Amino acid sequence: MRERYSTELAIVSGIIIAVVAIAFALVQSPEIYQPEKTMVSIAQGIPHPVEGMEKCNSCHGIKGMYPYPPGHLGWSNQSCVKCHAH
Amino acid sequence: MRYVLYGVLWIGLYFLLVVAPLLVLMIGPVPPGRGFWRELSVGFGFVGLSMMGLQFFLTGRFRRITSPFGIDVVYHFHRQISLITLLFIFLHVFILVVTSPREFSWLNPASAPLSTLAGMAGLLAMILLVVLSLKRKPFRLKYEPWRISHGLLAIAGVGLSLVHIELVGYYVQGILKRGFWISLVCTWVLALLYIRIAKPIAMLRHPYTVREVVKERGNTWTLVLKPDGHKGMMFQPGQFAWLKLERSPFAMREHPFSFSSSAMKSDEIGISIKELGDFTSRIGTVVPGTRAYVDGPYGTFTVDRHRSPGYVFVAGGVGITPVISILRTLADRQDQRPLHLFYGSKLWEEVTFREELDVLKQRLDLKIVYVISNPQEDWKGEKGLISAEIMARHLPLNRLECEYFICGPELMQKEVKNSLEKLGISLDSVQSESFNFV
Repeated sequence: MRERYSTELAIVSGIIIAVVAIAFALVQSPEIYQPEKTMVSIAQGIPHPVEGMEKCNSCHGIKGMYPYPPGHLGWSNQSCVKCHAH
Repeated sequence: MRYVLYGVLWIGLYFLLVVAPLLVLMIGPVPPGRGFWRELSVGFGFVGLSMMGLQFFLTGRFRRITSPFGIDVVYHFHRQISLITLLFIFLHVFILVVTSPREFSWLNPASAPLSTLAGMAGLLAMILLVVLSLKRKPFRLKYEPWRISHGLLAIAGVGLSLVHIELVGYYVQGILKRGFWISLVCTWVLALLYIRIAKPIAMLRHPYTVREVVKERGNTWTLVLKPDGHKGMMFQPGQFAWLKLERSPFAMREHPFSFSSSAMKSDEIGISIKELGDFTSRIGTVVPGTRAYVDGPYGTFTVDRHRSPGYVFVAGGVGITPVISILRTLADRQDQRPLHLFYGSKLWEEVTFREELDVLKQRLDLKIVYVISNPQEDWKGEKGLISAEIMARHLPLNRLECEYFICGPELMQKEVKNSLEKLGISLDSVQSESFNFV
């Protein structure tokens, strides 16, 4: 009986701790629950002309001179201007 | 009520310490998030590391931590929570690898950064630790080598994980955060130093000497230990201690045994041991004068923690040991509450403490029902195993008001609990203790 209580306590503890870890991830990832606002609020404007420079990944890819954040890995050139205004 | 309050406080503190890393790293300048899945992976990693470090406290036999729950329950929680900890550490790696294809290349040891290598080595140490613990008996690992490897793998797992987060360095920058992690690690190191050095030194100053070795019925021996240069140990009847014989208190080999002597006599303690395994089969060869070290007392299997108008004891085989301590103590206290003892044994000749129980019947309001599984032909008492039918015939009228204490083989404890449930006894009134710490 007492061992059953400690097993139940361990499982409940695990669930609660997992919930806290998920909450931490959500706090650090506002784009999950405020995608529009986040995109508008954190996406910097493009400080240079874009004509003739449509291949954003050339300079801003993960190996470029001005790399984007790791979270943008795999995003296409066309998606950049959806958040970054010019 | 006091124990309940302390228990709640310790559980609350445990939760707080597990999630503290996540709370602290949100204070002050916080690095930008890198996407939900990556941050979830990081969250699992941090809580997993914190849970690993707290395991040193769960297994450190700190009396303040174990007394509200019972040390057997704390050890059981340690085993269960270690599986959850391993799951969190595994999720930390799994989520990263699955959600970020780039991370796959980091699994190649030849090209992985040092931070990843340290993390993976820490994970492997933890996996090995858990596997060796779960499979110790199937692998036929002896206790001492297993215990040494368990400690070393735990230190390696925690140490390598700390190196991993230091080398990644994303959330541990800044004086506050570094200070927090240093403090946390210091508490883990202090816990280890207390368990492995301070406590054995304290035991070195409180040695015991075997005064007498008494042969009892049923392949059982009672070691009478006399304190050497100190006042001895106070314990509650029914508690137990870890015993080390002939070795230094720094030795790994130790075994838990219940006290069998009266708790009212602290000038010497008795520990009764049945010949069952490789260590206990040689207990009869211990000679008076042998040095012994006793780490205790522990346990909540005691009438002093459970007040009741009457008690029912159910003992099987060597399970009589804590019960005899309780009965001796109650007799010394001249306790007149009604007591019932159901005592199961294979043979009448092997009933340990049989003669003394007859004497205790004169000093206490004690009724004893012997249940012999292989009785002689002229045996007129109860036969077979202790069952609901046998208990129903002999339990007192106020059976629902009594506290029940069960001690014996695991299977017997389970069967007796089922029987008591059939008789309408709430399991909240039933106390038992498992010595299956590993």
